[in-house]
Amino acid sequence: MTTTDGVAADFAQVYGVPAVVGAVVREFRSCEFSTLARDGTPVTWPTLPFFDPTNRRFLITCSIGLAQKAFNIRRDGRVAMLFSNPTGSGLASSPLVLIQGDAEAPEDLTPLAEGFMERAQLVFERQPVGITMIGVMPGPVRQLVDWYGWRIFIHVRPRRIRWWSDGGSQRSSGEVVV
Amino acid sequence: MSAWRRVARELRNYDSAVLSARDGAGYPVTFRCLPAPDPERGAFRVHVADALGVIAGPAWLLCHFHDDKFWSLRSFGARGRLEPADDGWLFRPTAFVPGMGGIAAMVRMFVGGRRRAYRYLAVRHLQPPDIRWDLLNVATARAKQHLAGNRGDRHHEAEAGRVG
Repeated sequence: MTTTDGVAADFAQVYGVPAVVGAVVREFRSCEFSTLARDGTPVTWPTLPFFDPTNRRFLITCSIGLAQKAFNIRRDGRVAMLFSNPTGSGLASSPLVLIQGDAEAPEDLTPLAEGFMERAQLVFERQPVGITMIGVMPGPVRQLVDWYGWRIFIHVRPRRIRWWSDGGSQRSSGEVVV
Repeated sequence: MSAWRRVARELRNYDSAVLSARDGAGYPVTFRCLPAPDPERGAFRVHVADALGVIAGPAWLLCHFHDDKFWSLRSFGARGRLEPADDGWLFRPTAFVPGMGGIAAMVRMFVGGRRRAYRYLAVRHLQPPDIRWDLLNVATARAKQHLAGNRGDRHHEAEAGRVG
């Protein structure tokens, strides 16, 4: 999805939320991603989300060696993403954003998807220690950690978006139901 | 050591926590909170905004940290229950779940992760995919260039500020 001037649309344009909400989704280094365990417990860990405006969904990946969130999603696709940690984003006084949605986690391993290079570069820019690690890692060690790169591609389609300017203690500042 | 005691001890290392419960439609609802230890009840008092639509039931507490460079990662989780009480809401932990942070956690992740990854492939009769180290090398080079450019820009801006 692009705007009339050919620039890729961002989350705010796609879902009609304020620009500050779009900035949070774009700039925060991580979100707290919740999936439902077998016993119904919402299990939450930090993860890196990438918004894909063309398909109006998020991409989250996990290694097949750390695949519990994918297993949970295959049983129950209801998920939530909270953007509440602005560290490193460069944003001051940003709202807290909660996105509930439906996720899919295919069984097969997806071949390299479109946008891989851009996403990898973004991750290295935001987490420069990765540049050093890749640079100094000798071949045999690379073979020991290759499993970390065998990824499952999880897609999250937003259903309900809420944001709070006061940290989430009261009624939300805004809401979009998709 | 009880789950409550373990969580109480770890909580001191974080400014706030994230609590996840569920709403009436069964979706996870996750929000920031400041859990207050309540040792007599073996729980933590938490403020839950009515507007969130949270219901009592299984819940999860997460604390995590990263620095400005998205490193120095540390975290822990706690499985438990969110319960209504006369004076608000209580999170009652039942199990402490270690997360990131420290050498032991790193070793645990890499040893266990590799074993589970090969099991994932074997169960599904999948071949290990190739890792495109060549593309990753290009991505790191571009990122390095981009970061150096940004540093240069900031340096020039600082110089201009001094001159101006």
